[in-house]
Amino acid sequence: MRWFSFITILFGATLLEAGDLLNVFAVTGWYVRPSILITLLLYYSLVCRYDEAIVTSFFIGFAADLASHAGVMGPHMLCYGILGVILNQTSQMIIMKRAIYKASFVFLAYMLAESAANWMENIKLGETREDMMSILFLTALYSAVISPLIWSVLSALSGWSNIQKTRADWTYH
Amino acid sequence: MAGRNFHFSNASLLTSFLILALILLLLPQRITSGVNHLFVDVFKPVLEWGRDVQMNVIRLRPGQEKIVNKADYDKLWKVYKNLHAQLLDLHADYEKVAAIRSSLPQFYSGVVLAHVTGAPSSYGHEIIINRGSESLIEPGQYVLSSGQNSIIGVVREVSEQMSRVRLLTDANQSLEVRIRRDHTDKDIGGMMFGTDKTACKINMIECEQDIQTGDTVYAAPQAGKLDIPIVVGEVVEVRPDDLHPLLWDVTVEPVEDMSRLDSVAVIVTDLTQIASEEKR
Repeated sequence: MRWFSFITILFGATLLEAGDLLNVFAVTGWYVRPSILITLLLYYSLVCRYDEAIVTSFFIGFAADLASHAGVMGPHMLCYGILGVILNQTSQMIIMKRAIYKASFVFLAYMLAESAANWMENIKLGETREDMMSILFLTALYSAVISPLIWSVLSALSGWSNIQKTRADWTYH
Repeated sequence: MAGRNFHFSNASLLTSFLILALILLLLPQRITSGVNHLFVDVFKPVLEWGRDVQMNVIRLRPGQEKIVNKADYDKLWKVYKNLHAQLLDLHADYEKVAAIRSSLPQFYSGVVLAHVTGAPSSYGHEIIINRGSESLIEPGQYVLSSGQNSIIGVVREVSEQMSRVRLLTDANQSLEVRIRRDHTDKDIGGMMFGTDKTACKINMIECEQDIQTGDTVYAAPQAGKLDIPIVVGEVVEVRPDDLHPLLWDVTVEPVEDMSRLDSVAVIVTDLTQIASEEKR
């Protein structure tokens, strides 16, 4: 894998996630925006080798912490890192041929990772939000809906990233 | 040669990253938030892309003329309400001190104008502004809208050059307020809480209190932070609390549209420091 291309893609995704551009597509009174980094996590953890998946997962988690509105460093790095490693270890069992499967996994991964990360943020900041689960659910749904598009872009860039396509990276039918 | 032979096993790689993440998590927030602020500060121009587009999308709705008229109306309405509140306070002061010339209540001690660099998101009704402790901004200070007419939030976290402002609509934000009706001088005190939506709530007010739709809500003066009451919003709904029927459940709509904030003013208090900074 070419690390330069990974860093470039991650950098772009982080700026999108942290910036105001996605607010153009925000929906509902909660300003729900899609998450791009969660699709990146799923993609790289499923298509990379184990050692590469460890590094990419923790790096994506670190980027998610930077982009996080709470300004707390660590929770996303920890959750994304662990989730990425687990996904990589199960990649031989998971066959995500259809877009709907990938979208479902993005939804579940987002709910898992963000619930845990938000729980840690709340403990550190000493604050809770009553409607957090609603926001998480809607963001996970929004992220899942657009994940096939992002996945296609990442698949198209796999040649530049020098990633060998695995079963998890099959194109949609 | 030693460098070539150096090799991380997968287990040690994973352990190293886990330890690093745990260290980041356990470090005090004031240290780690610096990394976040640095990122926002360095890439501020890029992060602001789309902000103008977003605001134009909001503004270019049908009936644009009405929106413009309403903005003017809102501005004048806030000016009037603030002046009215000041007038009542001044009147009360003059009655108390009689012939003694007292120091008049200041509008506020001083303000620092700041540009909004981060818009509200789904995970927090917060904005990031481009002024920090170097401009004498401290956590807990009140933040006014660009017209300096109404309170929109409170400073939550400060770095040298940036600050996070929690908006009144955030569920974790509470504010001591007074409810006042036009042509009366009776204040009803209460605590206002955000709801993470566009409105706020005031609870724990007994049903005996006379509160009606249209009453004005002011931020209560706080020693060292706010010298006079400043308008926050308007009561849009009053109904008995579902859980406590003897208490009101008051819904307040802030006068400022939080999604359109472009610049704000932070009320700073220590004018002597400002003066010494200017001399330098």
